[in-house]
Amino acid sequence: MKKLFAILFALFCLGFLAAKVDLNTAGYEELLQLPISAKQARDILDYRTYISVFSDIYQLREIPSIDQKTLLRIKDLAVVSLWLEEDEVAARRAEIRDLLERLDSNEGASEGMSDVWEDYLMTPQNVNKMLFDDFISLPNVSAIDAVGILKRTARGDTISDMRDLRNSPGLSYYGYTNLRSYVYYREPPVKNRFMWEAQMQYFTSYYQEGVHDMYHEPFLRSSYGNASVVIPNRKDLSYWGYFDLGKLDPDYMLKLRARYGNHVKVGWMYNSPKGETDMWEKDPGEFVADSKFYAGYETGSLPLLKNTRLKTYLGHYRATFGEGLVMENTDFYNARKTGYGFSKRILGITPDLSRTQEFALRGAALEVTNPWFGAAAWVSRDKKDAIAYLDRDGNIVQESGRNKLFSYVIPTTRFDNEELREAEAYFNTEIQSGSPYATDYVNLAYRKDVLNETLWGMHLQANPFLGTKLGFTTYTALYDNAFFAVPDWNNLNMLLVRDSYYYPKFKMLDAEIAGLYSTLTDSYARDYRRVLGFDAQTTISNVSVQGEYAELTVDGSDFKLGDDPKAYLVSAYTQYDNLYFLALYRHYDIGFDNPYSNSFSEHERFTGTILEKNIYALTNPTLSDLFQNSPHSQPEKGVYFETRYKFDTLFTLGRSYLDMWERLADGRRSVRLQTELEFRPLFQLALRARYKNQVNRYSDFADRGVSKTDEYTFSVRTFLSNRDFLEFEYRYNTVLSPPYTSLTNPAQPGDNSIAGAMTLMTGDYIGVNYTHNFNANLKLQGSVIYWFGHGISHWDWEDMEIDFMGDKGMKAWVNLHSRISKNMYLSLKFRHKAYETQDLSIRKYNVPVDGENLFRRVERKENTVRLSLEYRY
Amino acid sequence: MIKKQFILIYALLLIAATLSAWSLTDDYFGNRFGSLNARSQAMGGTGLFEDTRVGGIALNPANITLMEKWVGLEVAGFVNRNEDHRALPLYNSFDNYIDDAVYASSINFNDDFAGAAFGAVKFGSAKLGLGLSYRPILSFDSSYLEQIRNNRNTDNDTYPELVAVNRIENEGKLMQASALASLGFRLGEYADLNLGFEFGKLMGGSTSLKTIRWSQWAVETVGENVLPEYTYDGKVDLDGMLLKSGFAVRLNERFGLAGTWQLKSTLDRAVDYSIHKDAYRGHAAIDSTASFTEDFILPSQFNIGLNYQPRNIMRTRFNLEAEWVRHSEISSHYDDCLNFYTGVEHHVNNRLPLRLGFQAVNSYLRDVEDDGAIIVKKVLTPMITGGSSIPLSDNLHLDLGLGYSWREYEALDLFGDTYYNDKQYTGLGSYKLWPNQHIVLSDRGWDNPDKVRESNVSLSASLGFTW
Repeated sequence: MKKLFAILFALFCLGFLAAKVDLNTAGYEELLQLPISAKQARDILDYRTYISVFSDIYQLREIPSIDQKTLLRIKDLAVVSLWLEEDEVAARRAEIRDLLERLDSNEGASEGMSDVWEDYLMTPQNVNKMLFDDFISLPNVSAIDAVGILKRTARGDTISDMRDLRNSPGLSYYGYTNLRSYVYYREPPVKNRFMWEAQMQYFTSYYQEGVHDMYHEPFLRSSYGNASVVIPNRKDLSYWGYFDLGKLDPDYMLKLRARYGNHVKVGWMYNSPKGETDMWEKDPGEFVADSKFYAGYETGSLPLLKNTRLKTYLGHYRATFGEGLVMENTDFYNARKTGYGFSKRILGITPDLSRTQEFALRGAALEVTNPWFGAAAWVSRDKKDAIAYLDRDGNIVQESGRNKLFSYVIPTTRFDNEELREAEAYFNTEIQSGSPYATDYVNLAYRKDVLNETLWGMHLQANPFLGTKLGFTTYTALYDNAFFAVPDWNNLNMLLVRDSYYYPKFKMLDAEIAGLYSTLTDSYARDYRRVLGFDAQTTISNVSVQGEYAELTVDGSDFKLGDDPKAYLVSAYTQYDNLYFLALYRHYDIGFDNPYSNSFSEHERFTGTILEKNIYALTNPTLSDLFQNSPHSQPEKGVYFETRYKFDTLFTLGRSYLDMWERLADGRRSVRLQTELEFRPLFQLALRARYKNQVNRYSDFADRGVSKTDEYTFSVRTFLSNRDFLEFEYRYNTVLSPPYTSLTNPAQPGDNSIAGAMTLMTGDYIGVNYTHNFNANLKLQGSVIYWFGHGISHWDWEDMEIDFMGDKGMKAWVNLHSRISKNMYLSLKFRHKAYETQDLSIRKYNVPVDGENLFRRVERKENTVRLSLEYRY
Repeated sequence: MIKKQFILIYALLLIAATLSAWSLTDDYFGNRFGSLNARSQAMGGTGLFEDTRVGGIALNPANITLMEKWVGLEVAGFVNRNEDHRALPLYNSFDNYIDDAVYASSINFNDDFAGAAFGAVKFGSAKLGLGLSYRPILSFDSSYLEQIRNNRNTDNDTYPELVAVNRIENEGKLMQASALASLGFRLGEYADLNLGFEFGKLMGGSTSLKTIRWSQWAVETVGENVLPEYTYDGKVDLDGMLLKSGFAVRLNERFGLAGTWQLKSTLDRAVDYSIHKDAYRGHAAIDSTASFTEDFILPSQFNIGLNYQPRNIMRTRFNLEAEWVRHSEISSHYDDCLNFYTGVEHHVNNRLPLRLGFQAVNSYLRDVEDDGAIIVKKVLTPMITGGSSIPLSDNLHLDLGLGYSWREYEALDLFGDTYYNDKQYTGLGSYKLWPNQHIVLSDRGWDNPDKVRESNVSLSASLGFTW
């Protein structure tokens, strides 16, 4: 009887439950069965559809129209069923969203690499099958970390989970925390499936100061210096005026990527920078030529070859090997790119949808890697931009039926060739109308797609021991329609400098320009450029040593080392849980002009040359593009040390470095030190002090080029609740340098004063940064900065980019990050910057002033907006 | 509480009504008003698919039946502050060209209002809606003041003498009064199709006054009746009509798609103007008047937009819209333009929404040369927007929208320098008004134009009732 009663009771309960309304499944009509109004039913439905499914019945109180009484009334009449949305991709994305955001914010610095890392975050690699190069290509994972793991897997040990990974001997804490999100152990978090991503960016940018000045430089007749001559004072005699570069003209970028797991990948990207023809105004051929795209296949299971990986790509790809001396193709320069920490290279062949245009490789690439060996081969055929020699009519000078070129170049704005010719013809009419010039026409200018380049290359690698590898890399670029011809230093000034009056501006350092590679010289003519080199790496205990040697074949033999311009780099790295230390030595010959190198250096090529410092003296100011956008290292040699040391629970010596180097073209020796100390008495509070010092030509105080820069920065960083962040920063800096005597003491009759002392410039900067998280899906970042530079430039690392700030001004920016849905992201950044620069007096009545005084310029204002929309599926 | 909010709206409209004038840039095409609905403005000017606010029917007539309401009424007020800075092209002592030496700045205010109303009835799964809307679409208001001074004493940090004062005063608007109709079909729980039609009457016009007046100092220096003064007085009437059709489709609970097609409108532009210039040495006074009528074309435009309402921890709506304006219909001088708009609304705190948006809109600056040649320049105006809403009751909302836009472009000098060459009036071989004889008073053409930097701060408020 008792049993029967129990069964009846259970049936009664089930029946009662079945009669209840399930808030997670009920439709509108069903909800109306509850004692609620039509509006309340609609609100419940809307909440479930647009806010969240119900996890418990008390969540009803989050709906404004449901008050406590209503809740109590319906509590016993409604149930909430368990509701799970099976979406492993969304789950994985939620898990790694902080890392994705960090990668996105570093996109400017790690151009093009974020895509590859993002793919590995979404579909991680099996840690038990990864190769040495796979590990060291990931951010903040060192060779020592890699060997620590590989030693285990080589023994047949299987790393089964995150904790197991942590226990790998030799794996540092930093290595572990960064690696863990890029790998899986037994089962991948996301199975092979189709994924795609669409991205759009719209950016109303302004030219940076150097480029701004370059485009403003007018083509004026040589007689303008005569006080009786009225200069034309016409805006359209500069590129800036002729092309109306002052108008608002946005950059925009569209990108589409799709892949099936990590196996089949396709992508397309179009980038339209400021000042260039819009994509819908281009003909189809031009549109394709200016687009980037790829299709690729990768697999880790080849028949007969155990643990061997194959990658093959058609379209655009990147090729990076060793220390980037022979081959690392990019248009972007990063100072002090060590290959460690976040300053990484992704070794091997990877798909390329970066903004790199000039040094993009377009063709086919194949890579096979194995624990014991690796091989890659690639071929590319593409048209490249170059500086060309021009005749008076704007035609490219021909040598033996080929275009005579000066150098590869990354133009700030890729003007079309025809509009450039028209502009140059217009400029020529003015510069020919004055007194005779040494060069009275535009004799050198950028031309789009003027160089046919066919490039093939290969890399072979042997990995005899764990953590040890020996590599050989070479490429040959064939030019079937052009010669490169660069005069020697003694004759170069007549080519580059407009007027003999300015020949003294051409200095020893400009030997760097004369060091550009010629395929046509007095002694030989050839139609190629060939670079080859060796790289090696080994790891002993917790020390990793690596290096690369490269040679550009000029007039020596391909196979004899040391008879041609060379570049080499060797570094050693060691790490402990609370310390790492890096020492690096590099040497790059002046004649080592390898357009496909991107190695460690303190400065980019042509820094300090006439291409940077004396743009007004050039026959064409846009020759300065060679410096403005150079991705290459300056010829230099020197030694660099870097460390980070957490020596106490409260104190950390932040990333600190010391670099001592010599610029090879003029022998200038410099030293640069940066060190940072952080005191964190509480988790929520950190105090930082940073000191930076740079002395140029320290070894030669008799020379007027000595300069000494000191910079002191203090910041208070507070880590608030809900991941909010507030920081105050103050910076003070001084530059001690020789005075510009030409400005302060004009050499005039009766003026016998000389520069008798160093001048001291001081500047400071104060800023506040704030991040506020409204909730997990809505974040606001903002910053206000005021600076007074007195001639010293400041820089500021904004959320996604570095901003350089001259003289005196104020800026404020806000960036809103909205996660619109689990797949869609929006970020909208607005920046207002107002500043002024000091300048010599504006001309009075179109003629030069008597005596020259420093005037504050009219304030400049810039409004910048950056909109980014992304959909990932 | 409600009373206070009404006072706020009333005060806002009152302030708006007392202010006038706007940018100089578009004295032919006028300055285009975006949506005056504050929600739409706050979301970057989007609203092709708008099922919450009545003002959306002015953007897309199909929104009448898209809204699940029977009656709606909305009024909106709008105020705009415009800053206009004109910079001379100059060379500095390094012979470097600089274009940020501002010589004339103006600050102008402009205001207006708009209204919309509709009613709808249901027939089974079909719905019919009728509506009315009234709004300004172009503004010709602008005001400009420029002082011409000679260059004496600038070295001594004192003001040089005032030679003349130039003024431009333009006023006027093009208004649109429309009758709207929409037919909706319910296709399912979150699915419906709506088709809308709009017939609009366009009317309005502008007056413009351009004067050059010599200063007392100039007259005393040169003598009475030597320097001629100049006045241009013009009046323009615009009249025409506009036809637009639109659709709005709710595809499911997440996505909506909408579009409109506005036909090219050819308006009658009747112009009356007079020019007066005083007599001067050897030249008789000019007193000319002229009248003519010409076509004024508002080009056709296609708009398409997406509405996305995801599941998010805060109620979220996202709009993305593109607009293709066929300026080439005006003449071959113009290229068609693509504009885009985007906006997002997050209900961060229950019913209090945070709205943000962005738009990038192209317009044209038109200039007619002395030889009749037409020069046109495309000008981009980006705008960032934000706003919120105050629910006064379930059916009554006060929306607030704020926008900041800017543009930078080249424009011709508004008053050519040769006019101030007193040698042509005195017959002397040297200047009397320009003590430093180095000055070269010549008109600057397109080879050496002004650089103009404008910014606008606009605020809109709309009060809407639906039932």
